[in-house]
Amino acid sequence: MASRGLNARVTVEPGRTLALLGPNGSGKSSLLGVLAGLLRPDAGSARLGGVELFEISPSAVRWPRPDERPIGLLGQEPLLFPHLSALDNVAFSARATGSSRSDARELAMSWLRAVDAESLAQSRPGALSGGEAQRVAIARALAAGPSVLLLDEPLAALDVDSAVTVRAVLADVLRDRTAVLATHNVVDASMLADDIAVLHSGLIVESGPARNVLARPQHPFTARMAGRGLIRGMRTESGIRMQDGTELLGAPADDAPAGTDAMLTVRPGAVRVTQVDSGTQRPTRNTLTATITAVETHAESLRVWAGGLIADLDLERARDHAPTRGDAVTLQIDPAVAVVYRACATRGIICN
Amino acid sequence: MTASTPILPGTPAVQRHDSHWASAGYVPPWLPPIAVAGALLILVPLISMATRVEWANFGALVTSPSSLAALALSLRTSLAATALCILLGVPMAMVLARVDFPLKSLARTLVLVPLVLPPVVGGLALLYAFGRRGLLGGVMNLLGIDIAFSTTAVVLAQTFVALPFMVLTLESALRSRGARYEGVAATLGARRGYAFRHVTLPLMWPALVAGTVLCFARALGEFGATLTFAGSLEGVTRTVPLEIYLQREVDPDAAVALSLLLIVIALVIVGLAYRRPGSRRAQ
Repeated sequence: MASRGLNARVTVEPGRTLALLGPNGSGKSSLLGVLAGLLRPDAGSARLGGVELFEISPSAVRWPRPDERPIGLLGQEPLLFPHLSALDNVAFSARATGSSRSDARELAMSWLRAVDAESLAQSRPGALSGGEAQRVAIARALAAGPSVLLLDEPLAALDVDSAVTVRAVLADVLRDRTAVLATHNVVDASMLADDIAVLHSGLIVESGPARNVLARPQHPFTARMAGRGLIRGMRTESGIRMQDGTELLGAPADDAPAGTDAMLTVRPGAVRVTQVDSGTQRPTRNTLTATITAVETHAESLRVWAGGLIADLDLERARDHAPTRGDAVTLQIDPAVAVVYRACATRGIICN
Repeated sequence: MTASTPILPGTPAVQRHDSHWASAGYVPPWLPPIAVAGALLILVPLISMATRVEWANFGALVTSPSSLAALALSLRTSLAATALCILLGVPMAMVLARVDFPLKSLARTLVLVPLVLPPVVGGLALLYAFGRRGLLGGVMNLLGIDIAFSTTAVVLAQTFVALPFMVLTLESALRSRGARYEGVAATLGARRGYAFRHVTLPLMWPALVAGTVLCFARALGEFGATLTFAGSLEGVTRTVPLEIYLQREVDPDAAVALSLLLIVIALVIVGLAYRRPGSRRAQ
């Protein structure tokens, strides 16, 4: 598909939820808009369970309207019809497709029950809180009986407490349902999705089962989103050798032979950072030297980015000698926690 | 509703931005006196007219046969013109707000021309279109229709001048709201016709009411285009404004009485149109 600089190919297996993980402006919403039929791409195609959903190519143009597609869409904002009660909002789809009023309301009531919003049935949308409205919107989208449910940042507009409630409702309704979730939030992706595809500037840089993608990233961007350090190198007997010859040890996750392209990932807690000119005794085992590219406060510590790694520095310890951007540091990696695994030859292929 | 939801029921989902700050603090002090001068410009003539009314004869003056004929005609034609404005204006506003087509900005400009055109010129234009010797006159002669100087001509003239009010009101409402709700309706399986009837129309209802009231007011006050295109035949084309203009020479008291009646109607209409029907939506 190509639309607004978006060029992506995704696959979602029946009954599974795929998260499109990427920052704002990476093309997630555009991709969902194309699937729902609200945004027409320059070229592209999609198939749904072996049946063509749409195709726009030099040889054929088939572009069904949104109402002709078995696809539901839940947006960042609930967009409940303000002139209808919560119940009639949920009953809308059934009414629009010819059900009688009483049948539609009965169906709507059962879906409101499913999202724990039965008591809101007679409320006007304007009287609902953000979380309540989003739950009603979930019920409305599901009541239409879509084959695929698209979710566009469904929790982004909610306050923390509402997000917790709505996330639980979503986790419940997404089980065994075919869905695509666009999000910039790693927590949402890992809690709601079975698979993850990472979007970066309109391209999918990697995809695979959620746990693998986040725990063993292939792309520096994924590692950054997942909050993990990532170093590329060549496989050795018990770790990797970086391009500059530095050797690092880690626990192998697969049996790839030495000499192949490899990745090493490690969480911030397993990286010790020491400033080169601090005068303190510097560690020498399993270390590399790098320049700090970014520093920010993170909970009780300072989070330091350097040489592809992330390390947390105790605020108390950092007080006398606060690290800043451009400082040279030595980073020591705990070899028992660091994981070494096969690197994909090319980006964008599924090898997790 | 769950117990963990911290937001009180009834809290508006969207807060209006202007509710947090008092807005009066931003007005320069020299501005209100000018505003008062402007208000006086409108108010003084209205009051002056009210002082000239022969209250003792008021009832008799506005119920004279010619007054009643004019009032009945005005009411009939204005209602018909308003209905035409709804019928034509809703599709025009929808197309202007929601369909992309070449020369769209030119089309929008043309639709608004009657707003800035002197009504007399509008009447002349209508005459050259629908008159006996007009552009469409030949066709209409063949069909046996003669519009000029008939009640139909009055309705046409009123529709011509009032239509832009409807289109303008509806189009700005449609554009400011966007088509997001229609998009939701479509993904819920609603065909375009259903979405139009059950989403677009209800949501544009406040604008439709405002546009209808404005159209009716404009149609009721129409003078120049009516006189030029429809003439001034009692009971056929002589609406209240034409009757007032005629009586001004013969019976000034009757003219003043009818004028006051129009002013009262105008006040009621403006009151209805600016009741801000949309203001309850934020709750």
